[in-house]
Amino acid sequence: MKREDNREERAFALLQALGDLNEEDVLRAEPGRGVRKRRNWGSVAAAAAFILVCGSVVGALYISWPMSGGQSGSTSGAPPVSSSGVTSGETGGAGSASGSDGAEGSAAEGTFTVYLLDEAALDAGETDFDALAGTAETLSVSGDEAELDGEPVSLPEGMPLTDGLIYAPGRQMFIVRESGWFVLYPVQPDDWPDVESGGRYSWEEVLAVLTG
Amino acid sequence: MTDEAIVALYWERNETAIARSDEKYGPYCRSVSFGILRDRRDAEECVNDTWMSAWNAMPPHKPSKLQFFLGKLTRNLSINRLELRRAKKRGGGELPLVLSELEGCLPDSGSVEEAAEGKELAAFLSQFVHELPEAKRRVFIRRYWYLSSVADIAREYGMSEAKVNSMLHRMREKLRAALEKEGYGL
Repeated sequence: MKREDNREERAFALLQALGDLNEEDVLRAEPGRGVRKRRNWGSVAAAAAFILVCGSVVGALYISWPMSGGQSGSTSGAPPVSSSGVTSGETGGAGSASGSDGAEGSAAEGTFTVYLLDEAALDAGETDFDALAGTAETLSVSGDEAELDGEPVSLPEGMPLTDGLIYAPGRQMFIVRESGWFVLYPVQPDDWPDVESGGRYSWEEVLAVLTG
Repeated sequence: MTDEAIVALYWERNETAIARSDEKYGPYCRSVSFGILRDRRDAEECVNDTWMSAWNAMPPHKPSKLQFFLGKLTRNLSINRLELRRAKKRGGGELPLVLSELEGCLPDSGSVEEAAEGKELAAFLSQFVHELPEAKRRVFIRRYWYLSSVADIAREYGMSEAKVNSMLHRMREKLRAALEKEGYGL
């Protein structure tokens, strides 16, 4: 079939020339990394102010409470979910994957896209990653609390918060894609004694873990 | 194993270079190929061809970013396979749509093939894309480097398909104007 005006061949040549784009740009756009949704800065500022005020009030009450045992006023240690706000930087914590939208100092704040693993298909024998990465839901993190599509959820300690997380709710397991590897973060590590939280696995190994 | 060590294996003509490449970047290359071909068997074949191409390319090449180097080989092999499949009327996935979109970037005259043979066009395109705002750059690269579908891009970035199409259209218009201004005479 003769291509009209040779335009298709020229377009094909352009497509091939586009193969030589900037390396870092291409790798940052790798499928599965995603970008953070645009923030409503007004809401973020209001939430931060609210947390600050509440935290100050709680802290003041704690210090002055007669039964506080003379605590110095430091918070009593982060519950596990708050430490999930820690971002590793390398693995694309809040904003660092995109690198451009002014990553905030606090990573325990914001909304992220999480893909639910299709566990029914997994149990039926499906192994293809693209087929198993199911519906997208919104993870909202604010301070110590996290909600997945409006439902409270516990986050694993040390897991970076980024778009493109994968979550197997039945298995209480988060999966982070990183440079061709899959990093596993069980919500309850004690339930997964053979899994190294934060450890890198191939997709085949992930399947073996999830299917037991 | 570091990239430098893997590249050294290629230079030493040590065949474990391929196993190490597959171990480290096999999932990424499969992801790139499957995203273009949408067929696991074809994608696996392209990835195997990637290792062969890498073996033939190193030496003399000594890539600083091995992941990108291998990904680019996979992309090229996958696009060529897709083009072949399309020629045999076996379905071309996203390729016909992408080519149709890129035709809109072409100024009215000239030869892209000749321009594309020179490194100047590639450098120009790289700079053009690099200067795009981050979010737009990612969308552009997902569409025209990874050949992701508009639906996949919209889903991953939390946008509507209409918004993705609109962004791509504006960026193509901007690219066309830039190509004309630079006198590539495409």
